[in-house]
Amino acid sequence: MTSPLWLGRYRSAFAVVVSAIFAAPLYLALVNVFKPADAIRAHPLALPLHDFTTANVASAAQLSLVQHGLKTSLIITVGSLLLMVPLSAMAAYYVSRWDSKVARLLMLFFLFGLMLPPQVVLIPTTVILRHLHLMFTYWGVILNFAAYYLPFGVFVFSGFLRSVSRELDEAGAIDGASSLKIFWRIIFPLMRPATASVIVVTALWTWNDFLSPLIILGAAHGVTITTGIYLAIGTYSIDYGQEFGVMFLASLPVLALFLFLQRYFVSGLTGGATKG
Amino acid sequence: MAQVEFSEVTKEFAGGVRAVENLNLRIDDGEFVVFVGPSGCGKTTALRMTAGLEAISEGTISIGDRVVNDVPSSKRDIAMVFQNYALYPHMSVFENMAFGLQQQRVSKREIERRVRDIAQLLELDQYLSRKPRALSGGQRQRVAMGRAIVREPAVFLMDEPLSNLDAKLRVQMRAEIRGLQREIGTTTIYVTHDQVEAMTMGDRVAVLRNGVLQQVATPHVLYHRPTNVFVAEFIGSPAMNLFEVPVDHGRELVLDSSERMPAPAWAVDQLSGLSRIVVGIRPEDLHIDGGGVGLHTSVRGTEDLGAEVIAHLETESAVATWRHIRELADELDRPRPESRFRRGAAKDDRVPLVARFAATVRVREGERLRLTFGADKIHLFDVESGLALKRPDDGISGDERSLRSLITEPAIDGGLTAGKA
Repeated sequence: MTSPLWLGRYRSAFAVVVSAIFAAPLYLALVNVFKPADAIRAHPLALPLHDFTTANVASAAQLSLVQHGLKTSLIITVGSLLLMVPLSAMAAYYVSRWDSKVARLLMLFFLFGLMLPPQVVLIPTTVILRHLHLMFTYWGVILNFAAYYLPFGVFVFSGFLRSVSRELDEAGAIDGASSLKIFWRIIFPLMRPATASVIVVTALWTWNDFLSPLIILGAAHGVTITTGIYLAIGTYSIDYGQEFGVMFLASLPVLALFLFLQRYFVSGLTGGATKG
Repeated sequence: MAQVEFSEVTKEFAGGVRAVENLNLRIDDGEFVVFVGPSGCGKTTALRMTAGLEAISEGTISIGDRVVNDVPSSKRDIAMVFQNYALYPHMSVFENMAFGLQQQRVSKREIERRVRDIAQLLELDQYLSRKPRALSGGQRQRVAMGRAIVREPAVFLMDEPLSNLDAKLRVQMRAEIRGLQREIGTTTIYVTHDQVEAMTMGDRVAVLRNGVLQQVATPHVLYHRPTNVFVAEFIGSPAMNLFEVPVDHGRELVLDSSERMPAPAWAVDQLSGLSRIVVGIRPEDLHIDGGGVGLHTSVRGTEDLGAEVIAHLETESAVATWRHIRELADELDRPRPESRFRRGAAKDDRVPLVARFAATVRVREGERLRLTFGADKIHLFDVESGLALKRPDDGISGDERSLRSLITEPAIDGGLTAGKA
């Protein structure tokens, strides 16, 4: 592949500019977390060199809105993952290993689910949840997320399963194991990279989602950390320092999760080149 | 311990491809039977049907006294060694071997004892805590064997278990597997495309072609009494020389204008009415001017293998390339004889031959040789069907069972020419 000379010459410059555009909000968020409120106003772009402080984070952590929000977000995210990861892995196993009409239709159905924007299904979902008396409950939000992200899980897992040799299933069957046992004892442990990817991505989406918890949980009945930030802006005038502290605390858990699982993450997305 | 019986077994895949056709075969308790044939011959499908990994379209397969058509793999009391071993990558060697026993709810202590016993037998005891990826190819192969043996199944099924090993290790493992099977005495079906492996390992060898069983017999009978041209060509390396000659009044085979060979007594009846016949001669049965009838040839090249010399020759006589030999060569993935076949001029064909001489014999390229052969060494096949002319029991094999199979299970209908259709 040859590219025009001028492109080659300016390619790195171009990359730097694009990166800078993406990085600017992150930079702003990060430097201002550790500056006193007046410094934020005066020099929003400056690095916190001589006035470095962790007071913002500390005061944000004191807020009941934040404490409550972090707890709620954690419950919802972990709950959704616990429900969605095993279910989507099992569904993917069925869809990709059984060659039947049902399996093919199911795969099509999941692909369709993958293309639906969340806003489109949110209102119908609330109607269903209301009938089930699950509106304004953790279970309501958890079920909503688990169902909505299930197709994504199926998609990633079934892609990965293609690289897991069928001979392993056959060896398991001949060794006398049932399909369920083959899945849990042999196949699922081998899908660790895919599982890590699904966990990281879904956790991120669930954690950061604003609209679903706002509508389903309702502001009066509980806040997640994202709806918490929104409420904090109104409730506590404009304490920028504290606001940045809240944002910092809000993004910390997902960041930690990503760092923890990142070594599996990339190989999971690329389909697991490991030989069965 | 159990016998395995295939009774009119047919496998038809979606789209109408018949991978196995009307297979009838009885494998005795403790017997080691090899399924061999070129790729696509149905040997693996037959094995997978026995394992329950592939549904049986027609007929029945029995293990012991039980028809297993509708029995799931897990309940068939079999163990299988896969071509790629299919070891569980996330489990240690111990766990790999123990997995099957755990499914049978064998007690922990018993599992421990049996796995350690087998590991010792296979010299794997130092590797029990390792993961498969930390093992060499040969060790993985042994773990796969161990996983099968430790279960003490009624039947072992092996699907080309040695094909991923290098040549030297393969020869070694061949002997090891055979030795183990003799020791344990478990009925075994072994699939391979390698005829040397088949001949060296099997009590009996079943040759398949396009889903049809061609012959099942001991290696000795298979080599010396092939039932058709396919088996004759497939078994043995270098392959049997095959050429076509005119028959004179059912009594003489015309090799060329000066060389005529009286038809063997046992064949005279069957030759009457035939104008041409296919003659087969093994490379080691050709001798340099040893007296008797012979073929006039010239040397095209030699391969000195140290212990023996392989000579590639070409006839100068009036024999003809058998008309189906090129199809056969293609099917077996062998080099095609050079095409000099001209329509209506078959008699002028120069047929390539291969001879195997003792190491002391010196032949030069271009040298002209008269190659002779004993009348009892020739094989005769029908020109159209490729079937061997029937021969009386001449004590080639003392194995009554194999001889019976030779007689009662001749190259099923269609022999050679019908198969490809």
